[in-house]
Amino acid sequence: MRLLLIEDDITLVQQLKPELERCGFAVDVSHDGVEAEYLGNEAIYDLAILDLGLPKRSGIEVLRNWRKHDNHIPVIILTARDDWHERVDGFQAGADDYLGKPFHSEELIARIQALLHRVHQQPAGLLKADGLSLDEEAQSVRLDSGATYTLTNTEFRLLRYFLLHPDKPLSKMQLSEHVYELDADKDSNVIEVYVRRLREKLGKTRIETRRGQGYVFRSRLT
Amino acid sequence: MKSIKLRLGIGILLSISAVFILLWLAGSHSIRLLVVEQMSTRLMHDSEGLLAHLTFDTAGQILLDPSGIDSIYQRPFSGHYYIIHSGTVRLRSRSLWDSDLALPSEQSLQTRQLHVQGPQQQPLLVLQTIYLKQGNTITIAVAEDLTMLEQQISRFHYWFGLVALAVLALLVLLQVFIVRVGLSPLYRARQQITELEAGKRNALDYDVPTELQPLVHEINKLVSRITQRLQRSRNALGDLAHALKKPLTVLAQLNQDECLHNCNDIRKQMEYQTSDIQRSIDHVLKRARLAGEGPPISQFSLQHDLPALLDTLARMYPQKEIASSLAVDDHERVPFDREDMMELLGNIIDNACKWARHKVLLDVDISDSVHIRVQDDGPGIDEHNLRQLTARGTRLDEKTSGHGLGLAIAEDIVRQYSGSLSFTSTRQFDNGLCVDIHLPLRHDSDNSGTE
Repeated sequence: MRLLLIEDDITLVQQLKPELERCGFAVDVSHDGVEAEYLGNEAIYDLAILDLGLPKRSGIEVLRNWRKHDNHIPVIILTARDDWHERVDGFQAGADDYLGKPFHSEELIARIQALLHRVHQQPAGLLKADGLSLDEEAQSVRLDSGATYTLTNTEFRLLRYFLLHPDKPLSKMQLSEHVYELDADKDSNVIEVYVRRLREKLGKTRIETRRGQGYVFRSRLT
Repeated sequence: MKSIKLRLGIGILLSISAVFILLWLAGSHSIRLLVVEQMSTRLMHDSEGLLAHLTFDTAGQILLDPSGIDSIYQRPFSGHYYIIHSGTVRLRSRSLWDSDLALPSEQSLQTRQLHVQGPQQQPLLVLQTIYLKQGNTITIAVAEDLTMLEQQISRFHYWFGLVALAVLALLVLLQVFIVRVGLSPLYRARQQITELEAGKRNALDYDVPTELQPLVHEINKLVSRITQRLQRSRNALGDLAHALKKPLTVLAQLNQDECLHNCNDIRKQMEYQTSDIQRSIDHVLKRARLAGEGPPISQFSLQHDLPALLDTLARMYPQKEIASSLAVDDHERVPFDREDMMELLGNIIDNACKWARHKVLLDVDISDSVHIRVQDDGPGIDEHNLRQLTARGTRLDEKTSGHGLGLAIAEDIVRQYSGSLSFTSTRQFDNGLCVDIHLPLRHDSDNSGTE
């Protein structure tokens, strides 16, 4: 899952970014409204965390512009302005969630996960597919056979993306876009390596290779 | 005398009355002058007529040719009389009968007008002229009764007075109407000021007479300055809150730092202190930001703001159902500040949602006052704490049984609007909290009664 963190407070970003990455999110940061609006329209982000008091263009305006151009990227507003009328204005502008500062990073992460589940029509709690469940806290996968595997960060990111997009062909390009940051060295061969590692743990049939299309994660094993 | 209407009325009444009295006096005087003038001309003719018929016999005795005498001088007390006097002879008209006129003796050759009491108390105008004819001095006095004239003049007085009174009454009615119409912009302005205070409008109309323009302009300037100042101080407070929260956020994040994992005491202390600072900032700033009574910057709209707020809460608590019912007659807008109402309702309903198991009920009833009731099906509060919450003067602080800062802010807002806030156990569900808010509505009629 790739997040766009839009926040002009450098100190906060320095603290928050590693925290989010540790929880298996690829994070790109934008410090001003104009750049943020442009990046948000790139369609490579699964979610945006938006501060309202931004230089150049206010967060509300950025959000309104996205929604006006039918950009439905899930947005969590993260702001010190948490009066009720501001909260209402935020939701009216098209926000999906709203968190007042100061906040605990656990709460932000919980809300990100809840929002991602909601957007991808997955129930709250563990991410499940036929025969396996993914614990996002522990970054571990548990199979119905009883085996539990702790995943590396990249494996976790990849599996979560598969779980949120089951039964859809996903290209290597797309996978790497949603697993890595903007400035990371993207080599699609690396995806192959990680898919192979996941297959070793989950079984060969779970992730199907489709020639020319990429991979399909199968929610049901027949 | 404070009423402009009364002052104008009395001024106009006095000046119109003065004009009428003057007109009345001048009118009767000039009519009398005119008639007397005409009468004396006629008398002069009569006098000259008499002179033409006077002759002297050889003995120098004066003789009057009876054919030259108008019959009016023959009828007794007809009101027309003459006395001719020459030497020792004194000829009196037959109309004088047995009475005489007391006339002063005249020396100079002049015509004189006299007012003399005649027979039967007739007021007479006498024209006395001295002529020289054939070397003899003749004094001819011709008189006419003024009774008719006096009667006509008093009739004129009577009718003029009557008409004048009628016209005066009409004019008074007219001026009452004119003053009322003339002052109507003042009434309108006053009405608008009342509305301004009640928050039904943002400024006075500029569509007023030029005399009122500066006043309206000043009031509008004042109102907009107050509004701007409130907005500015709100913005400043918002900025301050923002500025303080950023370092607080960083501090809260620092708390999670791995370096502190071994120092649990310090971490707990830091966490406690930062959250304490945050609560204090929240409480003080939110209270300071309340607009309270007076012209609101923007009014709370039941049609737009309430659904938006409920929509927000529904998104925040997707698992809970918020049912609302509105009993509102014609109050699309309530004269309360939008931000204040959002904060009040937001906090109360948010609190209810937090504690509710499934359902929150919101009832808004606006008639003479605003009544808001929020109920939830949560665990509720026990009797003791309820009494404490409802007790007058008890401050709801953040430590009260977990019903956080929100309720304390709600209480501040209610107090700003001179309303009341009470907590009971709900009857709608098995248990749960019921919050009742009463906010008085100010009516225009309250102010317009002070005439």
